Amino acid sequence: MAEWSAERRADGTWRVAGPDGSWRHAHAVTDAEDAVWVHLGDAVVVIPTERSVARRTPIQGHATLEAPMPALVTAVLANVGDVVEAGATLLLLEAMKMELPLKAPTAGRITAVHCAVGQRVTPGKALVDLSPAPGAP
Amino acid sequence: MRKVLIANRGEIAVRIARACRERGLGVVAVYAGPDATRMHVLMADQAVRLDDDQDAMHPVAAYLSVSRIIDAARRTGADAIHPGYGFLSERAALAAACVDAGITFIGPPADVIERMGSKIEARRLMEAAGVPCVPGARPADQSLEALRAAAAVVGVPLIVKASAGGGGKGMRVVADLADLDDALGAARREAESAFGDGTLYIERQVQQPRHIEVQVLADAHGTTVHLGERECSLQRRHQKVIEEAPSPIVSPQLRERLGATAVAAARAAGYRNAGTVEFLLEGSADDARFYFLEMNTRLQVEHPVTELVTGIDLVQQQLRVAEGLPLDIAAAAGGPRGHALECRLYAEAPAQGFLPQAGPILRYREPQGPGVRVDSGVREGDLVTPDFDPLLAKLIVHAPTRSLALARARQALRDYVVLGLHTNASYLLRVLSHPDVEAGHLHTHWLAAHHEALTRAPSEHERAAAAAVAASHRQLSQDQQRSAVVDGVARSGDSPWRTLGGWRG
Repeated sequence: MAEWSAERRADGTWRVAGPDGSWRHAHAVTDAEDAVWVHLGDAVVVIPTERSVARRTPIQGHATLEAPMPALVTAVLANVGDVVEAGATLLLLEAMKMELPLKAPTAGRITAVHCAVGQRVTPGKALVDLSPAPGAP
Repeated sequence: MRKVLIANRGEIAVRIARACRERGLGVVAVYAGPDATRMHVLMADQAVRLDDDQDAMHPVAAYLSVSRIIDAARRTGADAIHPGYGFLSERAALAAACVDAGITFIGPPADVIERMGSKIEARRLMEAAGVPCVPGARPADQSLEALRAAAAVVGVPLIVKASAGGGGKGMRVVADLADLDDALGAARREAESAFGDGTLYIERQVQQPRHIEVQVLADAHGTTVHLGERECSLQRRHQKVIEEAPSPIVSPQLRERLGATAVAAARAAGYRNAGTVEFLLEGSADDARFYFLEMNTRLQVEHPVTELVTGIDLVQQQLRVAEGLPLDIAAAAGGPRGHALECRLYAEAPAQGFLPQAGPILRYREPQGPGVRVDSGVREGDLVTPDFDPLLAKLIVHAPTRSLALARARQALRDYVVLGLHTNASYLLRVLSHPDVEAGHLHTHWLAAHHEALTRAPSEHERAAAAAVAASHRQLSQDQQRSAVVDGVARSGDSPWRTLGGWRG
């Protein structure tokens, strides 16, 4: 299949033409994580860099649960040393008036809790370390 | 009235401030937490911070503090308060505190807010006034046995509801009486924790209902009128997503019946100022049956669709009524003109279970053109924080027919550029492109039933096109990749002409 090709326009937007002869008008901007956000009219697509993809690869044998978005920690339900089942709620976060439970992805033992009730956390902030139980997926 | 304090934030605070300026009224904004540099603050004559650095107070709690709002009005010499929607708009305590402080509350009297805020009390009042309500039971005896007996009389499917409820909290659907005890327990616990009041009642569940609401206006001179209906059936978990006026299935005769009922309801409540009577409707045209749901004693989020089809500025009417003037609604004579649609643009990721999104708005372009209105509270460069409701802006379109309005809304959504955080724009576009929506075949569970089709991932073509744009974009300098500067001309949102705000001293 032939490639799509993008051409910059005088106003800083893009004209992207497809192999089938169709074209779209696009806006693009790079964010602080080096991902490029592209607006195509019908959809917005985020193209991450290889660097930002690599950053999220979990470390073998040890899981660090990160804040998915800026949020307020409203409850810490796990203590260091607790043995938890997969799916157990470890923390409650509040964001945009919604309660977001942070759940254990696998069964395991809590090895560290990096946050406290009332703390405001930003995306990527490590919240809980979990050492998966032997045999856990 | 000379100076109005707007006890709100975001798009509605901006919209109310514009109406105040048109009348030559001064504008006082309030803010808390991360809001100091937001649009509603910068465009006001004066702004009062509601929290302070020593407070560990959540910013929402600051906007909800009656004493701080009243204090802000006193300090700035504001002689009126507009509550907007949400926050304190339906708290009788603010309306009452205004009376005590000699400040005009731009809304209904405190006792009316109180009365309509209790679902059970409101239903009693409406039944007495001959307004049809969903068949149900409200046992004074709140024991499990009494509620069980009431449920058996109402029959399944039924809904257990909390008297103090709202937003779907304290609400359970029961399809089989065997599940009743669990539903009663869960609804009561939820109602007690959310509202501090576990009083429950039981209603028959209306199958595939439409949500139809009627805008009413009442002045202090004995005039109470309706401005026709809005159809708000496209909702997700009791949150409206797309609203329109008129409803595609309301005939002029049905509009008269709905309107007369809404006016009777408003009169029974002793209503003054702008309000909305919500109905559940089953069937269509002249066979339709409708039931009173609740009365909202405030301006609605979706008020602009009524404004566009009637030619009446509802906030101006609110200000007139608050000043003691009679309504000025001659423009609305003859019923709705054309068709209006409103899309709520939320900072949320539909593909991730509508998870609210936070982050910087790196690129922001509003759509323009005939019949396109954007009520927005954000600009390029704003940081959207997780502290508040994720509504960013409302896109409202007006066209001669419903089909043209749908086409206009779709094009405006394609032209609406928000980059840096995810929004529901492409979800809205898919909803408006669906054959059921084009045909007007809507009900309140429609969005949930079509979730899969509405939240698909970008297509192969879209990903390939975006990857090509991203690859070329990465060839630009770091500065060019991040700003909208082209050939030395700043085209971003920080031009002085966009940030100036009001001129008045």
